[in-house]
Amino acid sequence: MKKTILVMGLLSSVSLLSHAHTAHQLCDVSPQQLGAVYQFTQGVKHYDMKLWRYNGKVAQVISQPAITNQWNKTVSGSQRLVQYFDHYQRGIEYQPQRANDAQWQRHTQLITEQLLTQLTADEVVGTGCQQAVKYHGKIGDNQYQVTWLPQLQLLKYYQQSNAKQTLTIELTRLIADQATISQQFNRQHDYQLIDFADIGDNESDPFWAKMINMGYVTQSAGGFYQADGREIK
Amino acid sequence: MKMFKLSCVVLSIAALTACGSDGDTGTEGAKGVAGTNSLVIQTKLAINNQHCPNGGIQMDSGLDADSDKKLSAAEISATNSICNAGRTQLNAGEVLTNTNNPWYQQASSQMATDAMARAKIKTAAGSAKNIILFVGDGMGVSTVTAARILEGQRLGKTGEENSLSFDKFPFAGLAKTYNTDGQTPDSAGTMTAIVTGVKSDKGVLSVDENVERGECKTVKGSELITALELAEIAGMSTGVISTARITHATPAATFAKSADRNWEDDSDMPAEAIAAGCEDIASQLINFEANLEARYPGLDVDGIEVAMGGGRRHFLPKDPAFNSNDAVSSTEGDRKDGRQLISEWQVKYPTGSYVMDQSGFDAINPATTERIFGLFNESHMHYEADRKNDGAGEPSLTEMTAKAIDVLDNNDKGFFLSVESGRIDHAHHAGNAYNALNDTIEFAKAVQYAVDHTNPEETLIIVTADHSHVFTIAGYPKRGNPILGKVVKIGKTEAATDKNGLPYTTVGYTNGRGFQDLGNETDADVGYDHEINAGRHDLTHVDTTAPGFHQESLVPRSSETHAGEDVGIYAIGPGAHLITGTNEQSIIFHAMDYAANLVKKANDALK
Repeated sequence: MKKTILVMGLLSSVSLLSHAHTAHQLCDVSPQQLGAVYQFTQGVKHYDMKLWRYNGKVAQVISQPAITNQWNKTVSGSQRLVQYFDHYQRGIEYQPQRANDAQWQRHTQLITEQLLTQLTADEVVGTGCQQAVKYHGKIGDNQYQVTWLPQLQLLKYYQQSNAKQTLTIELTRLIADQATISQQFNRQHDYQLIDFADIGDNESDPFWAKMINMGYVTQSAGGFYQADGREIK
Repeated sequence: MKMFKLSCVVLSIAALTACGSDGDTGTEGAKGVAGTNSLVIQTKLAINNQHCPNGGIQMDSGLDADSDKKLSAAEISATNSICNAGRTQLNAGEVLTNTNNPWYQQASSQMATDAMARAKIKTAAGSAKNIILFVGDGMGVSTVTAARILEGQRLGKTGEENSLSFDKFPFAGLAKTYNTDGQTPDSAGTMTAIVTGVKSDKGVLSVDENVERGECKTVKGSELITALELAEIAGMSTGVISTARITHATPAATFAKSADRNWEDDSDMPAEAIAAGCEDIASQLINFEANLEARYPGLDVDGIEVAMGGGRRHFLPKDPAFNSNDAVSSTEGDRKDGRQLISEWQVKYPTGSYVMDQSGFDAINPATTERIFGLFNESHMHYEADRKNDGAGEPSLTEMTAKAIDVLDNNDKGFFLSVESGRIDHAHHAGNAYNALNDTIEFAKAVQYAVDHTNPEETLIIVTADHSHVFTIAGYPKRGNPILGKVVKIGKTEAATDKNGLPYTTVGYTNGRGFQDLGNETDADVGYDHEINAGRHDLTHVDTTAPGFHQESLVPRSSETHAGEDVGIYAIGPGAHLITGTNEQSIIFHAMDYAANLVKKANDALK
């Protein structure tokens, strides 16, 4: 059964610990297998990004350009990126990288848990999957407002602002349907893949030649992308 | 030495008086008029004189008409030159400054050593029992030079005077690397030339230039026989090793024929190519014996004895159930046809040893092992500096070379072994000189092992590169300046600066991704995780000798490129004398064929 949960209004706040325990019993969505649709806003620019988690893998999908970054953990604990160019049904396999938990959290949650520890928790609202903890704080020149869904280990709202710009990320849709989620990780099955190390030997391929001359999106530390696919600094 | 002294001789001629007869003395006649003096002037001529190139004396003569005891120009009636003979040798004292100089003595001694080494080379056709072909992928001349310096500096020397193992080979020449359709080549076309004797197009493996890349139907009739195949037919043992995927262009050219280097497994091939009967490269490795026998009716060969490298993905089905414990992808295998080629190999060769990690490799006893199939990584093996980070552990190129020789030399008919250091090329593509040079040093170690553990009277060892890279050694660094460091000029201790006051490195790239300061990162490919960063940067506080430093580049590109200049060929052993001068790259096959009579032996076997 297709199950889509719309993240809507906030419920009243109660104590963090007791509420978390109660909410856990009521949330039947696995934080390991879900989809989340986000809207990014930076100035007048808006774009959507989909976050998918499935069987230990995580994928971030942007539509313009159509790029999917998919990470998995190796047996040795390294993190490995495959970058899919969905319009072209091509992909680049990167070498696994030794990476810490914070980097994996950026891929799976968009923010690190360390950031949350640096902010002040204001209130807990909602129950079950929609239990939310609101944070605020200032780090350096940046002001933060964050709403975190602890049962889903998922970002609901994020705003980072400074004198120059404001970046807002809003969760607009939560997807729990297993078929939809697994399909996101199976659709690249027939894509033609290449090792990044082999790109230089494949300039006769028009697609890779174009990519080589243009440069293209690279493995991102932050996971935040501009509308043209480049990482937000 | 003949020497001339300047002198000027003035001769006077006295007036003669007449003499009377024997009669009485007559009356003294009137005194004669004083005669005119004849003068001769000798002038020393300097070296390079137009009449006497080696110098000499010019002799002007004439009558001193005005009796001023000088010979004016108008009085000169004749001019002659006596020229010095040319010098034919120096005396010992004159060259003491040279002969007492250590550079002079070292070079003189080296020449004598080389002459002796050359004299020992067997030059007759068929003198070589074994052939080992070493290919440093992308190891252009600048890479060899820089690696030689780096190795020397690691040994505590200034570096420039150091020699890599193959620098010491008695014969060397140059290879023109262009492909038949490209000025700057790729590994597929160049390795085709090296192992078949026929130059071909970019991107195709051991098929001639009549093939159209990616068009399966054009392969038939274009297939070329390789040195490894000839050796196999001749009954020799055969082996192929690479630190890249074993299905990658350079190793694959030895055993496969393909219209596209990228057809490493069936998932890489267009459906029409598969339908038309073209076979992917991994499958061709497993089916090598059967395919060769099918091409020559009645032929019975025993297949490749040693195949080691990376590239497990191309031998496994696209099903996570087949993942090895060293998999990095969630699904390690790529094959869509469901074949498990490693199992197929084990069925074909039940006494052979399949290994996929260091412990399995170490457990192989080469004295008793007939055959090895080693796939140590899902894709390419690690850079030598990064090998420690492989999950299951993988052997070095030297270790693989050692094991291969120890297995292959059990055949009395000899062996053919191709050894590729595949990741020199990849490090350059990533713009990371450290790993390119470090892998070149490891490559040189593998060559040295081969030299030390084979009989030089029966083993031809050829070392070469398939192509070069846009890697330069520039600036005017002082002797002994760290080759990966910033340029410090002669007599200086501080780094030289450019027009904008910024220090710059000795080695760099004409194009590529450009500067990255990744510290102690030993995987060059991590550079791909960062944005392209070409152009100049302030390196003042950057350790450019660190493994993770990526050199600056001029032209921004996602990947640094090959270069089109010649590469070196170095040779030792029977037939090595054929490697001299500037050649088409395809001469390497012909030298190997001459040395070991590959074609003749194969023909004899087919009779």
